[in-house]
Amino acid sequence: MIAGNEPHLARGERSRWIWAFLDPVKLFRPFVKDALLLDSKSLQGPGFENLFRDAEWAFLRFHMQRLAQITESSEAASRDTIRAHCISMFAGIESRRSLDKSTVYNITVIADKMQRLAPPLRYIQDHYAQIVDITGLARGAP
Amino acid sequence: MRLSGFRAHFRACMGRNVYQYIMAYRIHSSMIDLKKGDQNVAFVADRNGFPTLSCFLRKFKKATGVAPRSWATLQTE
Repeated sequence: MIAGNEPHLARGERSRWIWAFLDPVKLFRPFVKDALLLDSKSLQGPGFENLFRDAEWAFLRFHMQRLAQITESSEAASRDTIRAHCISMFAGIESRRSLDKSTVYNITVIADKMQRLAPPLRYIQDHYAQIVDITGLARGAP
Repeated sequence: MRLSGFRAHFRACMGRNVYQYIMAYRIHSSMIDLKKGDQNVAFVADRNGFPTLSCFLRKFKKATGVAPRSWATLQTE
């Protein structure tokens, strides 16, 4: 995400640009042992195409919009919610780019696990100040 | 998901159980309230779901090492 006054080629009425700084070690704890997630080689360099077209990468738009909403919100943002969105994005990008099937598998498995927790995490984020029924949370996890 | 499976899955992914996670969330939210200038500690405790003021004071001190009011003062210095 890029700041609003940053010159770019994809100008348009609907574009909105924001910088986001995320500490990868804090972000991926307790997955930091999975160093694959911290390997950004596939996300940099001259071969990296940094313009993602909506038709092919719709899931990226969804996660980026949610991240923007979370970072702009004055509410307490859950690190785990941010982590779930980032892992989902990285897993999606890796699964399309990487030729190493084991890498894709490892990251996808972690992303799937986090995705299953997304509904309960969202519920906790909205109702943390109330008495939370753990059985209900479990029912909400697919 | 079954309750037992959910508990194990949650702990494996989050590194703590559901209760610890919710408590950490409440503490984090309380810190934001205190940082915003809410000096009424009892109100902050109630708003963030702590059943009693003493429970809040105990949990907050355990998490941060200092009492809520002291923590808020440190943030403004």
